[in-house]
Amino acid sequence: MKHLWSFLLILPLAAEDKVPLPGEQPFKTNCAACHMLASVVVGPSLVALAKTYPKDKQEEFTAWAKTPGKKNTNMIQMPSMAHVPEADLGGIHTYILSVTDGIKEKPGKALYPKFKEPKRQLPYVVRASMPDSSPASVGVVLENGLSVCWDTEACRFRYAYVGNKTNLFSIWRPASLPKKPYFIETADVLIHSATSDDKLGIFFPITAKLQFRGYRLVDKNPEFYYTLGSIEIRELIAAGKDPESVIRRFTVTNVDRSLLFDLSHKGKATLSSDKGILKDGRLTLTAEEAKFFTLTIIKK
Amino acid sequence: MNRLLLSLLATTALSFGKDWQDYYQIESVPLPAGVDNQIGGITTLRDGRIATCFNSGEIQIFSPETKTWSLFAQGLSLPLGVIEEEDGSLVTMQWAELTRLRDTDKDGVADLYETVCNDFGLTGNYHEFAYGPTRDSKGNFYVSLNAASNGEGIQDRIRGPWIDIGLDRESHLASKGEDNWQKNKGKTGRMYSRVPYRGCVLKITRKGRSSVFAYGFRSPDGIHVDKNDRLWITDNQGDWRGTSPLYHVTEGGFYGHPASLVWKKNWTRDPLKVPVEELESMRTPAAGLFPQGELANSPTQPIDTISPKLFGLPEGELLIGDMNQKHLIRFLPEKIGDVMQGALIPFLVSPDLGMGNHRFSFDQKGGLWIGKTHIKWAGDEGIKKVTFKGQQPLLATGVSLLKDGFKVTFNRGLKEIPQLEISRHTYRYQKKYGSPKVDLKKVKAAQALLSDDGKVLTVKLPEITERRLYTIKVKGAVDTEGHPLMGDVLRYNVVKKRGE
Repeated sequence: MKHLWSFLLILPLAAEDKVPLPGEQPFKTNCAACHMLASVVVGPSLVALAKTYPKDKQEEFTAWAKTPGKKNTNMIQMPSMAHVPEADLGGIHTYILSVTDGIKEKPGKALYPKFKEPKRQLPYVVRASMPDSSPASVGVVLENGLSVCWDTEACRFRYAYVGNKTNLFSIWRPASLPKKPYFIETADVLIHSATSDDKLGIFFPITAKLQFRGYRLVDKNPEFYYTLGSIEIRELIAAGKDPESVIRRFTVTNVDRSLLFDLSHKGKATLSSDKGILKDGRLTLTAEEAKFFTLTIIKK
Repeated sequence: MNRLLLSLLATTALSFGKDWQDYYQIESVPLPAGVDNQIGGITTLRDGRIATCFNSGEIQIFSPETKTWSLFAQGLSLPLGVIEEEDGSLVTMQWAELTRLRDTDKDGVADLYETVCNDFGLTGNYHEFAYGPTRDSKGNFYVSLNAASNGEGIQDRIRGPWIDIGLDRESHLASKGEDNWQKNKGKTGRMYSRVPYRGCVLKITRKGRSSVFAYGFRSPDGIHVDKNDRLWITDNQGDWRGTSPLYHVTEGGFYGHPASLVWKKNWTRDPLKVPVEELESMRTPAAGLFPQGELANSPTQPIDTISPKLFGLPEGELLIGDMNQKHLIRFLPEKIGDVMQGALIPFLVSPDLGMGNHRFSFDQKGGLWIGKTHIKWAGDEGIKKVTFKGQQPLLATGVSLLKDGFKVTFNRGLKEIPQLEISRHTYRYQKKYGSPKVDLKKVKAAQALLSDDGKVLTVKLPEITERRLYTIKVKGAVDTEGHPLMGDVLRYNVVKKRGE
């Protein structure tokens, strides 16, 4: 009876004391985070490693682990495993060979199915790093097949392009655009102060701090909100009534002077404003006009 | 006959309680369609619903009553945490900013995406994850920012400013090609911080004013303020991390990874050139250490335990997850003088739990909601819910350092003194990735005493060495009814000895 007790008692406790396979513990410690049995996670699968380093190539295996290079251009380079004792590296190799015996890797088989972007209801607003804009940008995908890149760092519209791709965010690199932009703003600074009675383009910079404050969704269209010192600026982006048009509706508060918006641009589009004087891509607005105005960009 | 009956009875009693699932139910939660099933944040709302951040950029809210999901926000960039504010707004940390999501027209969907704080840099490097927020009792937010990885360089456009300490910016450009990077990557550090405040923890007031709170992090995925306003952060094994640590973080502290030192006021030196001894003297030791490959490889979010009636664990502990291990981990903190240290104990060791346990929230009834992720590293997907079945397992409920040993307290009396296997070791503090266990020594207990009620086990050791992780394996411990001790390896990190 006594013996039975102790036998039964030990059973459930065995989990952490199970005798590991040779090399299993150093494998778990150093490799298991990135190398799975038969599928690619961060690094190649154990099946692939066993194929590259069969039994007679243990030396090559340990040499590579100590000073790894980059074999797979689509994978991250492994950090050096030089801190792992030589005997453990050999053990890891033995372990890899033992667990992969008889196991095959299906080409392209991933551990998890790749997320497939669903069909999004448009307009759709998505935070992403975008090319030729800050890593903190926003993609605005409109229902008319046009898209806009808006930069939260510079607090401005950067460009418009054709396409309705919605999976723009990636940790790896800026979004790849379906098409090159057809309208690109080129001025270094968007908003300047203009002398109130002058419409000849005399203007000077506003030295106040530009601060992005966020955006509001108005019928799913984003209205970006930012401040330039005490001036509050809201810019709503939406599909225009005209085919292939994008509108930018500005609401500016706390403005006590004429403003000049430097809307210099390149590409194949026409830009118009319902207020002020637009000349050579520069829009001059009285303080009153600046309170509420709309720009329209029509793709040529 | 009698003997047979007795043995049958014994078997029945013992077959209950050998598995964690005899005490806890683990179930999968149905997921909404059209999302990436990886979870970056999960929180129980005051109305009992569960707000969840998906890696595809949505925050959806699950109603446990109707088992349906509703969309609250979308188009976010990798939200890696979410909390609810008093007015029902949700605050989430995205790749590029801390954002408050408000439903101003009360239609159940956020319409205002308010930038709370974007006062930190981005280089376009893939490793610049941003975690949080967690919040203290005064309403301040805390977020943690990953350092960049030299697995890749940086993009042409950054959100800066770039700091000119170390390898020049031009040489970091990914656009200069792989050959350029292979030539230069060794010169910037395994993890680097060249735009503000990568590798730091930021404190952000409710209104968005931010300041650097602490330095020295590598990949601090787990960030949590407990109910005593103590900030806890987990980090990942790697360069300058012999094994994964749990830190108790206080203002102005340096937590070991040197890259972010450049953001200290008046700092001018290349952190890679600071002697290790100097870094060693500056750093705050970890409160807990997770041996790599045994307890954790990439620890995740800590949360406070709740009432034992609701979840079976004592209050005042932390519960922590890990990406690679199919278990959770309890942390039993103990303050010795001004030093926070304590014991880590495996919890809910179960293949049904699976790995990738990333984000946690207790609901009002004591259900533990677990969001999983992998980001193509080791991990898993989906949501699990863990429910306490009502009968407490036999647990170590206290591990306390004595001046000459340890005192282990149990929630029920042990039948007899268990067999003990004790060892201690440490890790190298070094630039190189990880560390083997060093100075690993078996420790023979000079004496083991069990209190009359069986609830207090006192283990006397010949000596206690500071800066050593003590592993105490408690073998064959059972209560008087034969239920085994659940979580029988106690890993106490002795940073500081108890005084005379």
